[in-house]
Amino acid sequence: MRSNIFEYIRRAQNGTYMDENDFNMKLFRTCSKLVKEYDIKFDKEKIVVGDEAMADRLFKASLDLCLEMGMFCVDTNRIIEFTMEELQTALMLAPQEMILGEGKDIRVMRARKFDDGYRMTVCGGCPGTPLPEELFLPIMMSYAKEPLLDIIIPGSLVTVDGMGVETGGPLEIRACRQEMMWMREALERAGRPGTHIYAAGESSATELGTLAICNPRYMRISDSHMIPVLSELKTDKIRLSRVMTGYEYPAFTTSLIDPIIGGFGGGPEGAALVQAAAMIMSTTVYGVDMHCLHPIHNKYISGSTKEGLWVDSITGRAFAQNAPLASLADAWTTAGAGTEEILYETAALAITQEMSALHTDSLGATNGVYPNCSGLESRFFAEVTLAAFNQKLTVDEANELVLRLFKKYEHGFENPDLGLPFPEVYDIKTIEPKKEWNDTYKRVKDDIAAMGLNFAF
Amino acid sequence: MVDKDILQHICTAIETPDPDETVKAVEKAVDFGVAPLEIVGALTDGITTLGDKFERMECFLPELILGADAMDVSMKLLKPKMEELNLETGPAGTVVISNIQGDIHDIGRDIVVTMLRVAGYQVEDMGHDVKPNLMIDKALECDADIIAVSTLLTTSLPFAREVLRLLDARGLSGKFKVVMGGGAVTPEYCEEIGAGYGDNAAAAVKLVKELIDGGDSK
Repeated sequence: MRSNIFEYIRRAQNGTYMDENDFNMKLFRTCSKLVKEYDIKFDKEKIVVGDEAMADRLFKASLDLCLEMGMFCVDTNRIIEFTMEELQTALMLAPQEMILGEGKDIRVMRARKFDDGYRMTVCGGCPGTPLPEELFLPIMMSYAKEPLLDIIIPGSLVTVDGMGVETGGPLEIRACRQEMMWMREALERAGRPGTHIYAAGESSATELGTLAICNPRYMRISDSHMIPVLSELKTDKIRLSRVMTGYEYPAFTTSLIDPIIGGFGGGPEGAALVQAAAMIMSTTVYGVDMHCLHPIHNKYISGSTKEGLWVDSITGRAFAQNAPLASLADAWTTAGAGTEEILYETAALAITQEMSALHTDSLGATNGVYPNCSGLESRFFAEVTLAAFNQKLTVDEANELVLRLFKKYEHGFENPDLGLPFPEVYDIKTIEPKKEWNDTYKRVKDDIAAMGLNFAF
Repeated sequence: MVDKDILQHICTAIETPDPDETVKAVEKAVDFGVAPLEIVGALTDGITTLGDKFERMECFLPELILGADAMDVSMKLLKPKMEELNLETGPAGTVVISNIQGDIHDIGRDIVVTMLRVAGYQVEDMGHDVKPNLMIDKALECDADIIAVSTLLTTSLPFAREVLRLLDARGLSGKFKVVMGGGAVTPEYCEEIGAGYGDNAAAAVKLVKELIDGGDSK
C-alpha cells in the first residue's frame, strides 16, 4: 500500500486538537485568502476552462491549503498534518495506468494528460441512486448491455426482503453482497463477466458493507471500492477503517470528494480549491488509486450547473498539467430518464469532462434521488465524449457548445422534470428502450449534431 | 436622523457580516435610547438581506453563520431592555434537529440550522448520527415545536421513519411536528410516513414557519 496508513492513524489520534467549528471557519478564511492570493476567478461564460496559468495556480494553492489546514478527524478532533515532501511523494507515486477488470473485458484506466492521445474511460451506471429490489437486475442490465461503457457502477439497493436497509445494520451486509451478485449476473448475461465494477458496495455506508464484499464472489481485486473524504477536508474512523480494509485485500480504491459550492470553502473558486486539496489528501492518507469528484451546488445539487461544471473543469486541468491522477467526475443531472433535459445535461457534462482530462463516474439522474434512470442516457454520454474526442474540439468550441446546451436545460433547476421510472422508459423483458424514449434520444442527438458535434454514428 | 443613521449602521454591520461591529452598533443604539423594537427591526432587515444573498450565492455559509452569531449576541444584549418594557423576547419557536442515525453529512444540516436561526428560531442542533429516541428525549426536554430530521443516505431513512414510530410507541403522537429533508428524502416518502418535507434550506424554514405560525405545531 502506498499510504503510510499507520502513521496517519497515529496523527489522527495525537495531532493538534481543534474544535470542529473553528476548523470550518478557518477553512473559509484560508480559502478566501488563497483564492485572492492566487487570483482564481470563476467566469460563468468560460465553463470549460482553458486558462492554463490559472489551473497551475489552483494546483499550487491546493498544496498550500493542505499544508495550512491538514485533514480533520471528526472522531478525535485532531488534525492530520502534512509536510510538502509527503504530499509530493504521494502524488509522484500515484498510479498512472491501471488495468481494471479481467480477461477480455479489461480496460486501462489512465491518469489523463492533455493531448496524450487517449480518450476517457467511461463508467456507466447509476451512482447513489436508490433501486428497488425488483428492478435492480433489469436496471443494471440496461447498462451492462451498452458496449460503449467501459466499466460499471451499481446503484444502491434500498430494501432486502422488503425491509429498508439500515446504515451499519445486518441488512447493509446483505445489501452490499446482493448488489454485487446481481451486478455480476447482469454483466455475465451481457457477455462481459470480467468488466470492472467501480465503487463496489454502493450501499456500504459504513465499513461493514465494504468488509462484507471482500471476497472474490463479490468484489474481486480487479474491482474497486470507495473511500469518501468527508466535507470539507475531514475523515473519521469509519473512513480510515475502509482504508485498512484494503490493506490486505488489494482491490482498487477511489476517493469520493463532495465539496459544497457555497459551503465552508466559499464559492466555486473555494470549492475547486477544496476539491483539489481533498484529492491530494486522499492520495496521501488513503493511498487511493482513483478519485471521484462530485461538487455539490448548495441550492440545485446538480453537477450540470455552471458552477459545478467549472469546478470539475479547472480541477481536471490543474492535475492534468501538474500531477496527473485518474479522476472520474460524477455527472449528476436534475432531470430524469425519458426527458430531453437529461440528455442536454448529459451532453454538457460529457463535453466538459472530456475536455478537462477527466473520466466519468456516470450519471446520477434526478441527482440520485429517484430510480428514473436507464442505460440509454449513459450510452449517450459515451457517444458525446467520443464525438468531442474524435473531433478534437478546441476549448473555445467546447465552451460555446456547453453554453448553448446549458440554455436547453437551465429552466429545470427551479422546476425539474424528474422523468419516468425505468419500467416506463424500458421494456423490462427485452431490456431495450421504449419507442418514445428512443425517439427523444434521437431527436436530441440530431439537435446537438446540428449544433456542430460530429457523432461517430 | 441620528436614530436612522444608527439603525442603518446596525443593518449594514450584520449584513456585511461583522459580528463585532454589529454588537458595537447595537450598544450604541441602546446608549442613544433607540427603541429596542426598532433595533430588532434593523437587525432583522440586515440578516434577511444576508439570507437573500446566500440564496443567490452572493455570500456563503460561513458568512451566514457569522450573521446568525451576531444576531444571537445582539438579541442577548437587548433582552433586559425588552423585558423591562414587557416586550416579547423569546424565539419564534424551537426546533430540534439532527442528521439521523447512520448519517454524518453535516453541511446541509448546518445550512438549515443557520437559516432557522436567522429566521429567529431557537435551534437545538444535536449534530450527526443521532438515535431517534435521543431526538425525542431532547424535544421533550426543551419543549420543542418541531423535530427536524436530515439525511443524505437512503440507508438512514429507516431511522427517520423510526422517529414517528417511536413517538407513537411512547404515546407522543401529535406532540411534535416532524419534518425531513436531505438528499435521500423525497416528498413521497415523507407523505408515506407522515412527515413534512423541505426540498432545500429555504423551503425548510418556510415549512417550519407555516407549521408553527399556523398554530398547529403541537
